[in-house]
Amino acid sequence: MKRTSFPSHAIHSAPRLVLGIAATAACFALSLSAVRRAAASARPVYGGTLRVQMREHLTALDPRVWPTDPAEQAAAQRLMPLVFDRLVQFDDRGEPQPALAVSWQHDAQSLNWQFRLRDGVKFSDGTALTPDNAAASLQQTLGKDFQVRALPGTVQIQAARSAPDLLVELAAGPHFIFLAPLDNSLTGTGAFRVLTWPAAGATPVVSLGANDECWAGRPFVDKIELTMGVDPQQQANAVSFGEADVVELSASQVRREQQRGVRTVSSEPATLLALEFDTSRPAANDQNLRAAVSLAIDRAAIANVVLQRQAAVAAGFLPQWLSGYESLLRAAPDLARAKELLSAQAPGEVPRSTSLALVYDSSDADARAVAERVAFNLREVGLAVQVFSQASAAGRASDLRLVRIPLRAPDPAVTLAALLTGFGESVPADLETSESRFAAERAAIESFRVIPLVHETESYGLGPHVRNWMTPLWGGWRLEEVSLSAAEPAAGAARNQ
Amino acid sequence: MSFRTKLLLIFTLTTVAGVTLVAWGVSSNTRRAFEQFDLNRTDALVTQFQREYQQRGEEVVHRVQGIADAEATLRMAIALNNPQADPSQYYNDAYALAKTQQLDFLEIAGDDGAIISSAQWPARFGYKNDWVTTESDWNSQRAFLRRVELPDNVELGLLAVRVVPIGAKKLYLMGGQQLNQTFLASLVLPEGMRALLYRNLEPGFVATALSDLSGAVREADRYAPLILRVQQQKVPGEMTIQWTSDPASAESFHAIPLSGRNGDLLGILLLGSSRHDLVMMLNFIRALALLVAGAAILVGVVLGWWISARVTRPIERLAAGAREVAAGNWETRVNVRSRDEVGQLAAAFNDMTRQLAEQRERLVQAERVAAWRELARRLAHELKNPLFPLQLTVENLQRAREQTSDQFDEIFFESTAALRAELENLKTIVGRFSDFAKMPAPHFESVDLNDAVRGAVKLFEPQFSAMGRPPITPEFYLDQNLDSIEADPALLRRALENLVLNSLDAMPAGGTLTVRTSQNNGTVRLEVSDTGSGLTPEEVERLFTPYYTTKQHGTGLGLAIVQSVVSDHGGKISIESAPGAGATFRIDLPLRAPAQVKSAAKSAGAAAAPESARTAQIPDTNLR
Repeated sequence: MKRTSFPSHAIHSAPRLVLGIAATAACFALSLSAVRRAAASARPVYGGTLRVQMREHLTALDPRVWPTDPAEQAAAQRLMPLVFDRLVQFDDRGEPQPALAVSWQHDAQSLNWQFRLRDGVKFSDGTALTPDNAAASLQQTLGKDFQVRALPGTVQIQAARSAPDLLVELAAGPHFIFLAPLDNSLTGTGAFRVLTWPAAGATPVVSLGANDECWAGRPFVDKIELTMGVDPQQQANAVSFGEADVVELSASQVRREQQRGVRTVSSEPATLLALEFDTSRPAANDQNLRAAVSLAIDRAAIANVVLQRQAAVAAGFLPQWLSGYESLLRAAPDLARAKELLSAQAPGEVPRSTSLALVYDSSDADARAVAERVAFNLREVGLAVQVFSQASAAGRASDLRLVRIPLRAPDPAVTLAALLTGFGESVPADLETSESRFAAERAAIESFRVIPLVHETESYGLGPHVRNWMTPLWGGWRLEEVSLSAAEPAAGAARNQ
Repeated sequence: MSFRTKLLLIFTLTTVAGVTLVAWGVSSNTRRAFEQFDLNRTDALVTQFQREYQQRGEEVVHRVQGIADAEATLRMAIALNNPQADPSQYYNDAYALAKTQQLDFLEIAGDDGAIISSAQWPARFGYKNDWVTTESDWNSQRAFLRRVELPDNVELGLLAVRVVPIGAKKLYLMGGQQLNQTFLASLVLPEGMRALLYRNLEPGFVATALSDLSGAVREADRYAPLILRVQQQKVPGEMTIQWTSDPASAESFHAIPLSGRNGDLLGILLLGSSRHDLVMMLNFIRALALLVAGAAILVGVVLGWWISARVTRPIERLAAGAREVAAGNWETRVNVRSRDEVGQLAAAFNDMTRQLAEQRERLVQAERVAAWRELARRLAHELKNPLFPLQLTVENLQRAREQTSDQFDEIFFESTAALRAELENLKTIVGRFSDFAKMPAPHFESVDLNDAVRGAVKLFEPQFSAMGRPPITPEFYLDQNLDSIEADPALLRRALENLVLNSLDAMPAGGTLTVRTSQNNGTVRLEVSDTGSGLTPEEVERLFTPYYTTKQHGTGLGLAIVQSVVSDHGGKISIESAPGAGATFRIDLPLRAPAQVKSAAKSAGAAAAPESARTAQIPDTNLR
């Protein structure tokens, strides 16, 4: 079975070809020959090993052990779909589409859901997908709030309470269908199967082989060699020197790598960078201080300079492209007002401390620069901020924490609910409408307990052989769609998407 | 203290003083030389530092100029000259450019001084450095010290500014290197020296601002006085720090102020020089001096002893000879063979003793002759008086034979009575001489002088108011606290009686006999005064000469006996008299008889016969 999707290059190449034929009638023969060569080079080919590098280091590829750390979770979101499939999956616009389930239905209260499984699907070890397998997998990942039962050709999910967003949840969360043999080596129905998984302490290189029997068609590459735990700068160097085909790039690296001739691709701004007050610290209880911090920060400078325009100013938790109302929220710095707030003090009130501690994730390449810029902004309004990394923060209390949160799903309600929950804010029952989401988000933002800074893109550097790269809006990758060209690329021919 | 000891002491003191003086001189010179050497080293190091500082500054200028001249910088300047330029794309460039030129600091600022890119503090982009736009000609300026702000702290930097002018706009490059221990490491320090840098970036003394090659400095507070002094005075200063109780742990520090472009004190270079070598050298010198002094003292003592022995031996012989002479050994001779002054002195001494002995011999012979003559005169005088009556009596007897028997008998009886009386008189005279010759040795016992005085005077009480002569009034002034003395009571009584008798004889017209006793410094004094006619000096001089008398019927032995008794008791007798003013006999007796007097008395007692024979040699032999 062949894959049914077409590479974007092919789609974009056709009009060019037509224009070329019309405009260059005198050189028809020559042009025709050139176009034939171009078409042939753009056509996906099978085979090859795709070398991928990533910063995170996953210790297991198991949907049942879903990481809690946002960065690791994002890494799992990228890696697990290569081996496992869900019942539904997002399309390019973020809409849930059939995957292992070909159709579904639910009752009016969204309590009972039935998913009809795709026929003829086999796990990579040849075992056929059955409702029992699927139900067993889902029951383990959905938890006790859901009852999952296998019916003939169908999986029934009964929610304890109304679950209108179950499709998004199934498409975004760790709800993969897997087969768990006795040796506990999980098998999936995805485009790849795990050939080798690094033992503890060994070089963290994962080897994935193409699943020839994949229901969605065989991937173009034969093998993926994924190296985990690679430093961002090493990744950038690796792709420059041809040692890797796909690497992660931090926002600040993108422009430089482009200047170095590396082809880069970026998602929509889908990762939220925000400052979160530690509720156990006195600063979290000082409304004026929190507001002053928010007003002192020059978000545009962070987005445009520190993150090299690979981010957008975040006035809200959800990016504009997802919420549609972010532009209505205020994000411009107002130093005068910030100073005014800081100088305001009620009679008898204990003078506030003007010294804050800001901690950042040391594994985040750009976090330090962002944190230092925040500290610089806050210094300008009279707040002394000590910046230190998590790695060096052992035993040290921090007032502020720079957090990076990948958006969970291209669904604003689900994502906002997840964000509010994560921030400890109250989540309204109704987040289905833009108005309700705006009201909920505005209320949370104006409490200044979590101060959004920017929405950052997810960027990758691609080697010259990589073809058919497709980046979803909210980030991630689709390596099953990627093919490798056999020919060496011409110098300087790299093209940025 | 003997002469030899004195000489030895002088030798020793001279040696010690000499060694001490030499040690002090060497130590002082060494210290001065070392301090001069230390000063030279410090000066050399300061010069080296200034050279290194200047070189480092030139290097910084060169590196910043290198960045300014780089193609990328030029492109950046051109691009930024465009009104639609996006400075954000150069956000990270300063870091990379700084790395290429090995600069610790680099900031790229636009025409308005706003930072486009900062290597040391990337987050500072957009911040305006106003100070950089005030200078118009940066490209001719040298490197200078400046405070460099970092995210977490402030550092001291050696900076240079270069300007890339593009059209009407300028691109400022502010680059430099940190002035820290790495810079200190570039200084080639001699052994025993070290360099420290104080970054004067905050008011007062901040211990953490002081660093050396290894980083933070231990016990940094010890440097505070020097740092504070230089901060206040802004001139070089010095201080010595002794780290432990051991003086060898001391280090002297020279502080050199480092100023910025505006003359503000931004750093202080401390050059420390260990005083270990100096102290060790001084200790060595001191130990050596002590050793030499010890050896010199030893040698000096031995040598001094030997030399003083050589020098003092003849003098000691002379002294011993003199003592012998003083003891009466007139035949003493000093055996000194040297030809120096001491030898001449010894020869003179020998001549003197020889002459003294000869003169004594002559004097003895003369005195002996004189004594014989005096004795003969006295004997003749004494014997002549009874002999004449004897002769008349005998002649009267011879003439009486011609008388009748009755007359003869009467004459015979009268004559024989007269003969007997004169013979008795002769016998008495001979007895007195014999008594003088037989002066016994004293037998010492405890005697109360006041009692002895009272007893002797009482014996003569009848004569004080005897019929037919003017009365004599005795007066006593006796010290009642007088201690008893060691004396022979019989001899003492005899001497006192003689004195009282002498005084009575001196006052034929009556008068007052005054007797005084007193005690002073282990000596009792007895004074017997009369109010007689007194004595002439010649009489006083001869008064104790035996057989000399101013009286018509005296034997001249009374006062001689007194003198003999006083002498035998280790005392002295003197006379104070003037004609017409009476006379006072003053006797001083020791409370305890001297040992030599006692031993002489014992030996005299043991050989009484020969001594008596010797003492009475002249009169007795003649009398016998």
